[in-house]
Amino acid sequence: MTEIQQKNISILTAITAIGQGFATTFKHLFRKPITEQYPEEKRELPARSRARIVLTRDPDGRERCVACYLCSAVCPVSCISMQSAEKPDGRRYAAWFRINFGRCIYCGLCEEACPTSAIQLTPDFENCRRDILTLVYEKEDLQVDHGGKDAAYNFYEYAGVATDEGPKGSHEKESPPVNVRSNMP
Amino acid sequence: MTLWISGYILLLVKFGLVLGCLLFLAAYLVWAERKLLARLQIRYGPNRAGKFGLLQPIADAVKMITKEDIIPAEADQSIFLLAPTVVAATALLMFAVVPFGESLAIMGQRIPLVITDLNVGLLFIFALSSLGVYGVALGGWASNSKYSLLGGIRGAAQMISYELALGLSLVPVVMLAGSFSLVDIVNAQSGYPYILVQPVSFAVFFISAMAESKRIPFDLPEAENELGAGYHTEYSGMRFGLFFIGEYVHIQVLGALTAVFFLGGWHGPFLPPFVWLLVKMIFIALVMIWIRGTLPRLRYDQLMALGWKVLVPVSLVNIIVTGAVILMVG
Amino acid sequence: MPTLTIDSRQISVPGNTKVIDAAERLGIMIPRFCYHPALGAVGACRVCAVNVKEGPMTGIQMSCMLDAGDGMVISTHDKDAVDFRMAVIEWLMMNHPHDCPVCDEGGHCLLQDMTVSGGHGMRRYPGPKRTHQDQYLGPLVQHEMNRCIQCYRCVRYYREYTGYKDLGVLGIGSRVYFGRTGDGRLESPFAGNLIDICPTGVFTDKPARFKGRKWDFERAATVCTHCSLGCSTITSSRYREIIRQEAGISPDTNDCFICDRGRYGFGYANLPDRPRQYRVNGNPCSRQTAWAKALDLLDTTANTNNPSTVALLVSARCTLETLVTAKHLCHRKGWHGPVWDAPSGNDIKSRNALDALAPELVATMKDVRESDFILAIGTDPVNEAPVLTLALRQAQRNGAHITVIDPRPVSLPFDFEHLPTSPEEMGDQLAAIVCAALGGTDLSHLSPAGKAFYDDLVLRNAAATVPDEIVVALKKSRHPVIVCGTHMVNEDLPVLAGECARMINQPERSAGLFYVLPGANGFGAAMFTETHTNAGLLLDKIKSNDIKTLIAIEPEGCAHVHSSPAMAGILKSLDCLLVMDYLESPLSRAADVFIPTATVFESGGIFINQNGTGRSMQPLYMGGTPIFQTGRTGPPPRLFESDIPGAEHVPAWLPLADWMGLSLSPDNSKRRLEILKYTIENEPWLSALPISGDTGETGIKLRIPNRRLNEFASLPHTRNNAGNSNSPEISLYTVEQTFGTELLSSGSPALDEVIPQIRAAMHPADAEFLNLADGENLTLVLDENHELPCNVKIETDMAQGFIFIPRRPDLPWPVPGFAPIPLHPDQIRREKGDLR
Repeated sequence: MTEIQQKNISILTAITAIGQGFATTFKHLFRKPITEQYPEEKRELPARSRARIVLTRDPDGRERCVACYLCSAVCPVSCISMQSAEKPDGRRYAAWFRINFGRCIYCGLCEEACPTSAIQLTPDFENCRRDILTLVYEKEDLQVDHGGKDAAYNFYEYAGVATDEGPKGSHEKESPPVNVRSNMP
Repeated sequence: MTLWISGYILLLVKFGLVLGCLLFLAAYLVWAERKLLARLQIRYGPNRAGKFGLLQPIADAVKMITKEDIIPAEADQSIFLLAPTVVAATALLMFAVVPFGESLAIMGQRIPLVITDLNVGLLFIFALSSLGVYGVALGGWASNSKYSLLGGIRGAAQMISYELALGLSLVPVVMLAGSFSLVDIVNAQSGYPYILVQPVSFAVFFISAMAESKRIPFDLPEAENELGAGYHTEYSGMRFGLFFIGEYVHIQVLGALTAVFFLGGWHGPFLPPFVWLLVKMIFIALVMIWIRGTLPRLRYDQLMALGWKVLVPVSLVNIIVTGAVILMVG
Repeated sequence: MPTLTIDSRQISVPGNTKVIDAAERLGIMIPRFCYHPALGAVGACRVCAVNVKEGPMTGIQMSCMLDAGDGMVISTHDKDAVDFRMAVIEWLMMNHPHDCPVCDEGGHCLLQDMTVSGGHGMRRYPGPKRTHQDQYLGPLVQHEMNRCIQCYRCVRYYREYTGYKDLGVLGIGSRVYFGRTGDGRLESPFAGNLIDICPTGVFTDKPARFKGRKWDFERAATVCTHCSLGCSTITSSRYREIIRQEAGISPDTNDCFICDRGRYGFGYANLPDRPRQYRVNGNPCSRQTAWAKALDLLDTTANTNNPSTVALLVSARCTLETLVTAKHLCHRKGWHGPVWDAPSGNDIKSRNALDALAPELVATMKDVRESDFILAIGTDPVNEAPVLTLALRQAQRNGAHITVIDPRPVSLPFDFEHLPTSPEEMGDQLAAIVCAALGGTDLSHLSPAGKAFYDDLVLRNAAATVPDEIVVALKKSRHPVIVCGTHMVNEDLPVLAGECARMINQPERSAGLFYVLPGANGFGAAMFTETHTNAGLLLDKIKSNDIKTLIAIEPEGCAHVHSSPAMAGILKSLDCLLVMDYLESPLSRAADVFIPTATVFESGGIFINQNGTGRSMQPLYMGGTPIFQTGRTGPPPRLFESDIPGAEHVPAWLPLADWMGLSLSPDNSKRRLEILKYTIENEPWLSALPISGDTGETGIKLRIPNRRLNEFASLPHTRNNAGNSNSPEISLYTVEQTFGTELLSSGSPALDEVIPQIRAAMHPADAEFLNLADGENLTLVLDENHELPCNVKIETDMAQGFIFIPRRPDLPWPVPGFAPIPLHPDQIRREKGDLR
């Protein structure tokens, strides 16, 4: 008995619900469409939107990328390749760095994996080319002259390796090197 | 002899007019659907090809004709090629019995404004409607793809189920008109449209008709997000276009049939008869688009329950009530 | 056999098994830093903690220190144990720098793995980290002390396992420092193993510094080809360049460690000037042209000359496939050879050695490690077969008595007895030791030949005296091993050593015999080359116009010692010279047709080590000019090509098989299996090798054919007094050194810095006789065309009457095969003024 009653009620509510639905869509007919007419109207994208990849620089204007291969390892489409090398000052850097944007799916995993905030995705998504080879970006094409979203970070201030950034013990949260010839604490 | 020749020529002219009108309408129905659906969803819809995107159907036609016609490697070729024509042809043929005006008298000759006035027109429509199932089922089977097969099976089951309700919903109409001929049914509504006396029948017919044409919310055979595109997943180019034309011609046919059975056909004041039919057809089509823009797809069990547990019993009861009323009124 | 339960699973293990090993047998990998199978347990890192639920001592215990006991119940994933390990990781990480991105260990770092798997993701300690200054440890090992977690593996390996003393531990507490007392190259030629053994990045591979990550490398198990031991290695390549080698684990040979020669000797495969193109008369050409020209030349000689005027020269760096194909080609065509291009006399000595190598006596490195008495005769382990030193060291650590009988100044990182003896007297010394040890033993079971041999020994015995403690040690020993070299010995010594090993092999004493052969495939070369000829005789035949066509396949001695006018003249008298090689040499430059061949990394192949174990190598990569070289340090080319640049080389056996008419598949991998099948099927004694080419980690032990079973050899008693110290002449010998003398590794740029300068080692008495002081520069006049500037090095611990200089491949040696040269004092010139 109650079941049937409930059913009746539910049929009634269902009909009103459907009616409401039809009313809603009908009302939409008279609203101004919210579509943005893309090539004519361009929209400012949020800084964190994921498109063209760049290699940023640290606050001193030096290359941030240490060519640790984490981005190329994590890249699901293997579009990043590089060769690491050492500068005379002890900094590790990418001798060459290549991103094939023809393959890139803009997933942002490289940015997430990057320990130095070097590789970053930018909102610039308009990079279609007719010649696919122009989508293969070399290091010069990727480098920018700013720090991107994480402008203040300097990896070598925290890494603890001796570079031109300073010798052992001179970085953030480091005590001076141990004198092994002394047993004084 | 001349009579015979002129009759033949007349038939061809009617053919040409109806076919041209139907295909033109089908093309622009697509445009209208995309446009209207877009507005229902607060979008613009096609607006790049021509003013208001009016050249979009032509662009689509060019695209489909010039696209590569791909036949899957393991497909059953002949059936694969046949299936879309079956769908399109049955939909088009159904219009043969739809009257679009009173008989004209030209040079003393009475010209019926219907391609052919069959005395079993209604049964002819059911027959073609049933044949249309083959297009879907065979297309799905011949593609040799699991999605297509599932779509085809769903289509067959759905159309067979709803045909029953569709047929039963029209029995009261036939009882009222006393004829299977569509011309007679329209003529019987010269006073008032049957929707006024048979609202239940109308509702059942309209719902079943939507299910027959595989429109949202009954588009399970081609459910994009479950089956790719169901029975026409593997079709491309103009063969896919034929399925598409079939579907939109079907919408018009169903609009015309709804008009014929319940809305008084071409009857109406002020305007010429065929315009009235056109207006009613288009109105029904727009309502269908509105429904598409509003309702979500049914689940398969809901679909079957609706057909067998609601529509069929309701139409049966409706037949009994109508019969009783006719007996009582005499 | 105690039975214990670990994580609810029961296992029975032999007594003295540690819980950490028992768990490993169950497939449960308990984290570890300080524990290493070769080094044993010290319980320093505390990361292998488990919870002992039932046993003599319950609670958290270190599984590496705990012997598995009967009835123990142990949980490795109990909350207490997991929390304990997590806390240990956290405190180990407290001072660990944030430099994984610039650390070469990143990606195959045990500490990284344990930290991540232990769940320590966030640093809680906000204080400053302790730092350390790094040291310069030479060109091979990079030091970065900040990363240290004080597991002590490095010093335990360096001081205890290898016995070298210049790396140690300084400081106390958290200030503990692992390094040398000052900057400087690590003295040990096994220092590279520090890289493998350090669980984090304190010691990293310097030549491979910043060249890539492990996950980007193409890695394959390989066999070291820089001496005859056949150590197991793991080679990594990337972008068509061999990047680094690590030690493989092979209990029968190298255990867990390799020498630096093997670790860094791969550079020859990457050389920018490695010949990668076919050449006809010195001009680069296509493969088809060179191939056709070679066939044409061979046809012409076949038509105009006797086939026996064609000679084939092979060496011990050829793969087994090449050697077998070469042999069959010579037999089929009636050509001369194949001739083994070995250093002077080493070929005949190797054949003699294999003849004496009885299956029941064959000793592996494992046997050497486990023996209790080692008599190394005519060998200088560190320089000839470095990893053998580690095996000797392990035996010595276990209390073995080690004697080395050799004229050279042998230096080993542990206590041993050195008897500096001239090659002529070595046999007498050996006979004396064996006779003395056998004195009083019942020898009635010996056959007549055996008795005759014993009598011969007794005769020789009279000519030498040996220290008593050696005899006593041999008498006491249960597993003695005789190690015999093939370079600094007389022709009959390998046989004598073999028979002596058989003599002392008695029911209560199982003796072993271990030969050190020349070259990676010295065994194969000895088996498959012609016995009645050698490189010297071949040169004579060329001189006398008996040989008109020479086909040199990866030659060794001849290729690199012909810069003299005499040699040039010899080569001029050839009609046709075909060279197949992957190294550039004077010989390859003079070739009429040059065919570039593939290195073992590119072609794979089978090598038989000195005890007859066949080990196969799969090809590591396709080969070709390294991308770094094609890109000229910039990025690699942007456009794809269908061919690999510089990958025209073929395996050396391919042209030979082609000339022989073998039809091989054009597909590289199929072809490799086909030639393998051919090799195995056509040499019955190789039938133990699998046709699939997969010899597994340990390799396949081959049974040497035609061995005189249970019959002693009768040695001609040829004792001469050539080593008389009263003679004014001094013999100039070339000797092997760890670095710089082995042909392949001497081309490796990584080792350039560690190759020592050429110094002439001589006995103080000789130096006094010649009036020379240590460190003095002098010039050795070898003949009218050859002068050799060098530097005097006075060694007390060597035989009198010799000068030893390293056998550099680029040495201007007038005699083929580096044969020793008797020097008259007149031929030794001081820099300032004459001698005396």
